[in-house]
This record gives sequence, structure tokens and C-alpha cells, in this order.
Amino acid sequence: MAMHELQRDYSTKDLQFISIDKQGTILTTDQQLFELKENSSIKNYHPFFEGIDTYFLEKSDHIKLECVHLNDRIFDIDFIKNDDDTAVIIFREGTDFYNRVQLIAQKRNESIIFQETLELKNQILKEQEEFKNRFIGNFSHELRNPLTLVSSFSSMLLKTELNLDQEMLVEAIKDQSDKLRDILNDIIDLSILKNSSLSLESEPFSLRKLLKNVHLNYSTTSTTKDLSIKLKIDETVPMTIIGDRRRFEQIITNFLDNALRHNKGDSIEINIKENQRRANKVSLRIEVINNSGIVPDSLGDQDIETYTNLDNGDIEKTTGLSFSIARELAQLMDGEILIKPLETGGTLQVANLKLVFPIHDKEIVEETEETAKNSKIHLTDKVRTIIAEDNSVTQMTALKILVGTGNFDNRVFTDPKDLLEAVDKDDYDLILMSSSISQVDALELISLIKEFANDHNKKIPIIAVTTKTSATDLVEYRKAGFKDVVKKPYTDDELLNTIYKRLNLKKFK
Amino acid sequence: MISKKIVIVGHFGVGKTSLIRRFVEDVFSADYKVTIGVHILKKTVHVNDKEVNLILWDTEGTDDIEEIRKAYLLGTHGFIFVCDVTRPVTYQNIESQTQYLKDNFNKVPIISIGNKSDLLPKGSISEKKEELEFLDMLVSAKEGNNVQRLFEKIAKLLS
Repeated sequence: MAMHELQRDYSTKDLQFISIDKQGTILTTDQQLFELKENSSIKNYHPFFEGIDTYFLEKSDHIKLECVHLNDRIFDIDFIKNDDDTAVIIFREGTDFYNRVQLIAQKRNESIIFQETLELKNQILKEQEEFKNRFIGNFSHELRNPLTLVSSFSSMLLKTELNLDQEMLVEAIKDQSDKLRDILNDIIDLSILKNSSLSLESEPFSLRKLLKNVHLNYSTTSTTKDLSIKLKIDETVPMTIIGDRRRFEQIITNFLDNALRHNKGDSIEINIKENQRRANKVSLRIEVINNSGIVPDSLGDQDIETYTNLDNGDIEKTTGLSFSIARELAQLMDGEILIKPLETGGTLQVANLKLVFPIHDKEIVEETEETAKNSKIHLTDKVRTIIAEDNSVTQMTALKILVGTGNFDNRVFTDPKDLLEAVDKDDYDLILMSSSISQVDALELISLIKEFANDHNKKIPIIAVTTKTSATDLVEYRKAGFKDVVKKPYTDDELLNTIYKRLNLKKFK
Repeated sequence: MISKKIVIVGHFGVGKTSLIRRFVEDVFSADYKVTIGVHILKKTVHVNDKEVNLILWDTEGTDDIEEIRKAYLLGTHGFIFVCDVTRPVTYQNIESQTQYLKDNFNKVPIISIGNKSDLLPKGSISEKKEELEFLDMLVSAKEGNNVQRLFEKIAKLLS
């Protein structure tokens, strides 16, 4: 196509027409957009043209290149090949148009990159949080065995003849190890809650009975002997609640622990009110008020770090983990909690919880567990007991507790093979099994026992003694055939209560 | 003197323009300016006692390599595929992207690189290298690490 024909079709002031030969020499050009000398090489004008030769080799006679930046200006470029080894290059200036496009692209890309960065940061934070919770979980589990020993041995020592000084010392040890145990349980609870792996149970329970029990427990401990703890339940509050009894109780006890820790007055009030109800749903307001003493506000998500930071010193000055646990639990119950300072110098802790109650609301009768009076139980025949445990500290703890009663004849196994051989050869009455022995999981081991034990041993109670105590773990243990689960760290009474509950004691008397 | 056309491709915001500016002008700006269309720059490198003119085509970033205007790629002698080591989205489809180039530009060498290595936590580079083993090289346009080496490497491949 001749250049003058093209010029006629494209004629505007934003265009420039250049004809070149195969070597890139400019044959003719107008000077509409920039000055070029005829008979000079176009390759010297800009690096873009250095590869212009290759366009002569392309199959297509018409090559369009859009949005090409040449010396701070932007062009659409058409390369049109002629039959006589010449070509016409048409430049169309698009600087203004493309600068506007650039602004739009700038906004779009920046926003996408910002979004991507946020997502990445969020992911990193999540991973860090998961790591932290896993670490805390593992760390806490490791502490349970030595703590079980300290806790149960001091409890056993207190039941022996001690002089006054000794008794005071042992009491202090027991008191502190119990506190440590509570903190440990709090840390584990919180790491479970933060992992969102906790699901709430949904069973009916008597609200008044639960509250009265909590009130009774707190009113009769030594630390509250000079305190008046008042419980007030509004008449409108439902008799029965369908929900997670243990977790509901935990919120109230956490509030009470907070109040006790910071209380400077002589009374604490527990008030239960109804905010509103609709169909079978009720919103309850739980208030714990200490009339003197400021409970500091929550430390937010920094709680675990603050709590586990040894340099940070006095844990008594914080709300501890209990408030964080209560907050997480309340959120699981579709509710909220808050702390308000009172003008009297005291503090009000509030939980607003959304709960379910039965349409035909009435007081339900709950089964009460009869606590065995361990110290009064004396058996004529000894209970032949297997302790399957490869941790020496835990072995010693269990042995001391059981031997101390005089009711047990114990054998300790640390190797699963020996254990399986024993349950095949000899008859036993009870097995206490750790969560794993020589890296064989308790769930696997119990299935092997059920398979290889002799007929007598297949029927004896097997109790898991473990650190795995989430609702899911408990279900799995029960399903696998464990009669009960004792949570580490335990006290001597806790271990014995469970054992006596699961044994047919008449057989041994 | 021989001239070789190198096209720099990759996702937007990975630092293609910064990389070329570091190589050609030895400057770096932390401000991000989106490239639209194509910029063409030139720099001469010496390899094996020869001078090679590298004609560098700095293309607009795209999510998908197929979105690049085809005319930009005519007569290409080599590709540099740039990723951002801090944004997985920029390298998660690298295999299919480079395969597209291999299928359509027979025997044209491709070097895949991860830019912004300066943003990796100190001490984690060797670890990250293992994770990004599909990349030929980690570079930093900001600090200049490996930039010269990259262009000399591609010049050697082509000369």
C-alpha cells in the first residue's frame, strides 16, 4: 500500500508516517510528532527499533504494537510491510489516554497488592497463634506429671502425723501446687479455646442447684471464712437450662476467683437476672460484685504472653487467665462479658449469656455422685492392679497412693508386650493405663488387651490416667472401652474416688 | 556487536521495572508505579570478550502470561520470568506460565527469578531457596544482589 494512500486514510495531527527499507533506513517521513532525518537509520532513534528487522520476517504484513513508551511519550505503532521490501510505520500518539489508563491501573493494582498483603499477614498471624497454642499445650502437658506427684504426695503427707511446723510447710506446698494446677488447667483451657476446637455440650441441668453448689463451695473454703458471699437468683430465671453445665459453671467460678483475688471488702455478691426471653431462648445476666477492690480490666489477647512472662512478675495484679477464659466461653455461648469499676471502689463483673431452656420448664432431679470416703475403705482381699505407665514419676505417684491404702496389690508395666503377656497369663482386677506406653497409644493398647487378654481380664475395669481430657478425647476413651478417665494432675482422693467408683467393692470385702 | 531482545514478564508488582532500572541506571525507588504497555531500555554487557547489546522489554504485569500483547513477544531471544518471593500468588502458577512460553517460543531460554530477596527474614534465605527450588535465582532490585549476575547469565546463554 502506497504511503500517500495511508496518509489520506489516517490523516490527523496525532499521526506520523515513516517509510523504511529492510535495513531500517528512513526513506520518507513527515515531522508531525517528532523530527527524523531521511536516509538515517531508524535504529539509532530508540532501542525499540533495533529489532525492527525481524518484523520483515514475520508472516503477517500488518503488526500492531499498542502502548509503547518512547522517550516519555506513548504510542500505538503499526508496522505495515510492502511487497517491495519496504515498510510503513505509523505512530499514533496516545500519551494522554494511556496516562489516564495508568492511573486506573495504579489504583487497581495497589488495592489488589494491599489485599494480598493483608491476607498473607493474617495467615502468618494465624500460624503464629497456632504455634503458640500448640507450644503452650505441650509445655503444660509436660508439667502435669511432676505436678501430680507434688500435689498428691503433699495431700498424702497431710494425712499422716506431722508436727505443727511440718504441717504448715506441707500445707503451703499443697496450697501452691494446687494453685499451680489451676493455672495449668487454665492455660490448657485457653489454648483449646483459642484453637476454637472446643465444642459445647447441650444437656439439661438445674440452674439453681448449680448456683447453690458454687455458692456453698466458695462460702466454706478457708480463704473465704471472713467473707460474706451472697447469692441472689431472680424468680423469673428458668429452673432448667439446656447447655454446657461445666463451662457455664466455669464462667461463674472464674468471676469469683477474680473477685476473691482482688477483694478488699467483706462481701461478694452473685446476682442472676433475666434480661429477656423469647420462645425457648433466654438471655441471662450473671453479676459478680465485690464491693471493694478493683479487678483490673482484661489484658486482651496479650494475656497468655503476659501470664507466662516470668519477668512480668506479680500475677496477682492481673485478672489472670480466668477472665480471658470466661470471655472466650461467653463468646461460645453467643454472649459477652465485661468488667466495670464501681463508685464504691469495687468491681462489677458481668456476663450476658444467651441460653436455651425447655419449653415446659421445671426443676430437674440430677443424679448425685456419692463420694467415697476413701480413708474409711478397708478391703479384705487386695485389688490386683496393673499400672501401665512408662513415666517413672507418675509410676511412683500412683504406687504410693495405692500402696498407702493397703487395698491394692500392684504390678507396674512399662512395655506393652509384657503387659499383654501378663493379661493373658494371670488374673487381675483393675488396670490403670497412661495415655501411651513406649509410644503405643492407649486406644490401640486397650483394643489389643480386649483381644489378647484371658476371659477374666476382658471384664475388668480399665481406667485411663491421662492428660488428654478434651470432650472429644473423653468420648474416644469411652468408645474404646475405658470405664473412666482420671485427669492428670490428680490428687490422691481424685484417683481413689474414681477407682472405688468403678470397682465392685463388695467383691473385695 | 550483537543485539538480543530480552522480554521481562511476570505478575504485577513483582519489581520488573525496578530490576531493569537497577541494572541499567543503578537506581532504585521504593515507590510503586504501575507499568502499562511496554518500556524498552538498552544496556551493553561484556561476556566472553564480546559485547552484547541487551534490548530489555519491560512489559506490563499480568496475572496470566497469555494476556501479554503477542506483538511484544515477536523476535524475542530470551525471557526473564520475575516473581515476588513474598507473594505466593506471583509464583504459584509458574510451571504452567513457563510451559506456555516453551510451547510458543521454541528453544528461547527462560530464566525464572524471585525478586525482593531483601524482604526475606535474615537467616531464612537458604530455607526459602529450598521452598522456591523452581526458581533459577533470587535477586534484590532494592539492594542490587544478583542483578548484574542475572543479566550476564542470560547474555551468556544467548551469545
